[in-house]
Amino acid sequence: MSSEEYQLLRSNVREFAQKNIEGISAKIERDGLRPETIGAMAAQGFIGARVPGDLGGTELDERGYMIVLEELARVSPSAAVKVLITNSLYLPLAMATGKGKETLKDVASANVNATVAHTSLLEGYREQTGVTVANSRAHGVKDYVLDSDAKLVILAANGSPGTLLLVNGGVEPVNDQTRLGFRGLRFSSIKVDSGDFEVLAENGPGLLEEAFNGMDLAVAAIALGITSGALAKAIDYSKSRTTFEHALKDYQPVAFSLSSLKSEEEMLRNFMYSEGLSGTARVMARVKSTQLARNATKQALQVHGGYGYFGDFGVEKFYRDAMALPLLFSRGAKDMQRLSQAVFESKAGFM
Amino acid sequence: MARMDFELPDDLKEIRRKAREFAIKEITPEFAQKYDREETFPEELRKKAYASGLVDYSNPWSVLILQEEFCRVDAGTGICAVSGYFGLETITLFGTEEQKAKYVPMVTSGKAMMGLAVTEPSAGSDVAGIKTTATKSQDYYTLNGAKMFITNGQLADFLVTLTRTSPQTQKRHHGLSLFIVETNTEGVTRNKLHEKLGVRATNTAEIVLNDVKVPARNLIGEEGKGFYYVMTFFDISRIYTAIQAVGIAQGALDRVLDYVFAQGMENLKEETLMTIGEMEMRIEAARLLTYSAASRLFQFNPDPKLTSSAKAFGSETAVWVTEKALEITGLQGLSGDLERFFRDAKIMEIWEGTSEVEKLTIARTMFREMVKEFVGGKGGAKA
Repeated sequence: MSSEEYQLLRSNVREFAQKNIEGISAKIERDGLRPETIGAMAAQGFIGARVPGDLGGTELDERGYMIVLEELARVSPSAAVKVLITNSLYLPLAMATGKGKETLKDVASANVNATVAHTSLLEGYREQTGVTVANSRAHGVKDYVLDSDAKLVILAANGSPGTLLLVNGGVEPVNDQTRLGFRGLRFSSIKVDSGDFEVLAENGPGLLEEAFNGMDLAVAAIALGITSGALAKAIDYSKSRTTFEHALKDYQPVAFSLSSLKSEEEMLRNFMYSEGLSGTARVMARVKSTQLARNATKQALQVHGGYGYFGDFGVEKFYRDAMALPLLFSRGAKDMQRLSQAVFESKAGFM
Repeated sequence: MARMDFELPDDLKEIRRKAREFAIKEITPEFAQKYDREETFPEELRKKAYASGLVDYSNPWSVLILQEEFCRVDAGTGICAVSGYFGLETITLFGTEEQKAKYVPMVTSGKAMMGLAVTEPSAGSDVAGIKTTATKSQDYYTLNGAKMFITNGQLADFLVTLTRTSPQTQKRHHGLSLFIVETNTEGVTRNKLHEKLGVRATNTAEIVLNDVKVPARNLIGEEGKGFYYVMTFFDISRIYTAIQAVGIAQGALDRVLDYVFAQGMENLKEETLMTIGEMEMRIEAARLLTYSAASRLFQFNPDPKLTSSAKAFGSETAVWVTEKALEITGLQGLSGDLERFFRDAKIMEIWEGTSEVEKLTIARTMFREMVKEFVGGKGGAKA
């Protein structure tokens, strides 16, 4: 794609997000992403953003995909994470087999909801039972599944190393978890009892980890979108809100802190969208952008004062999501080890 | 030789023990989660806290320790249990004997609730910028305006309300007055505000005052001095906010330690150990700062510099510690108490004066003291 095409894509996604999502973003937080919104995102080609064209997708390149994630996250990080799960987790794993590929057309068009039980890779994961395969049935409970309303679920079964299964139906969300972030998506355990499943690979955890590590820039793009959305609100608010007879923006602590964060956002965007980023640069982008999102949302909320603490102003969701993003889609110490290994050109930071 | 003792006396240690025992028994994780999810006020918990004898308004150190221990278990419901008399010091310090006799016992006994209505839709930190008016005619005042983010607003039997009684002059903080407004008075409308980020069990409301007639005898202190009364109250309430923040931070650290023990100490890396060490360091510093500020206040010698330091540092400690606690515990924290602690902590940097306002207060107090010393020095013995 040319730079003009990327610009056009960005303005199209922004326009779609403003028209179709921004107005209902508070409702998404309360009631979840509704099928009609997911359907509208699919019709624009966002749900199948990276899915190959011959399998029913949009086949965007990586930069185009990042633009979609960033622009959606500016108004609703939940909507962006929905696209992330499909394209950065489900897609690369489903591509492992013919049967997996066959599901992609329905997934890209949002006829069928798909997710991946990826949280076994994360800090704090503690599985009670797990899913086992016996007598041609997959059976058991998988904990901490995001977007757990899905019919198609990719999960690592019990065992060593544990096969990677694609389960089609026979999945029921149970025991809803409290949700700090991404409240548009259900977060719960799932109860699995299905005879319709496919073994995608024998090395389940290994493949999951590969997919997880492969989404550095996608996660960074969502973090950047959160930063951008929160700062835009804070900048607007500080122009209109007066205190002690002056606009908030007139005060140095407000103006300087927001301007500084905005500079970091712009610099990071330039870095992330540059051509041919190395593996090290990708990890750097993930680490720095998730940290920036936390700093920016904290300041954006603070600038809003009491109003920021309420859902109506749309800032508190960014604060929650900025914290939930690295907890669900990054691995703090492991990401830093990957970064350290690249910096030191040998194993580092493991003690 | 003179000595400084930083230990709590035995009676306060006993109060701490009882407060913790009560909080752990009554505020279970399920209880806290339910009220957080439903955004409802735990009235039965408030009643139990009063019935237990723990809520003792006559003993400010006891109230301080109680708030610390309750917030250590859960800030949302914990604050509800002890905030029924929020704003009362405006009456006990500046009210008439008649006002004290009528209003103080009903809230200190827990039979009634009150609140303080200062903030307005267009005036938060800028207290002198309020627009609600009170106009005098004969033996009553007529109040008109709107108040925002009022704690206990929908449940309070009366609200101590800041109004403007004379037109704004260059000295914006002049001409403000405090009134006791009974909430069943005609013209008072209360709307509960929903979807708070944290402390969701607490009741927060918008109050609309439309031609509300308040008897002149409900004026607190002197007309025109409301700003000073409110600022004096904030010097008190900020200490309690500081200790709530310390409680939240300590509660988060408690849960991190539980998690780390359960995971096995042998797997601990230095990065995590150092973070835990820093959590403890910051919390203890915030606690000592708060106790120091409280000690000055409770001896009727408040130091605004110390009070604001305690409030700002305690709040920032709570936000920092809860964030680090989530980083360490990951999914466990995300699906347990800690995500709520993280959400609750943020309000501490906002209510009762933002961290920015506190830092300005610290600096301005320092400069005032310097000027005073300079002027005193020139005109006094040093000259």
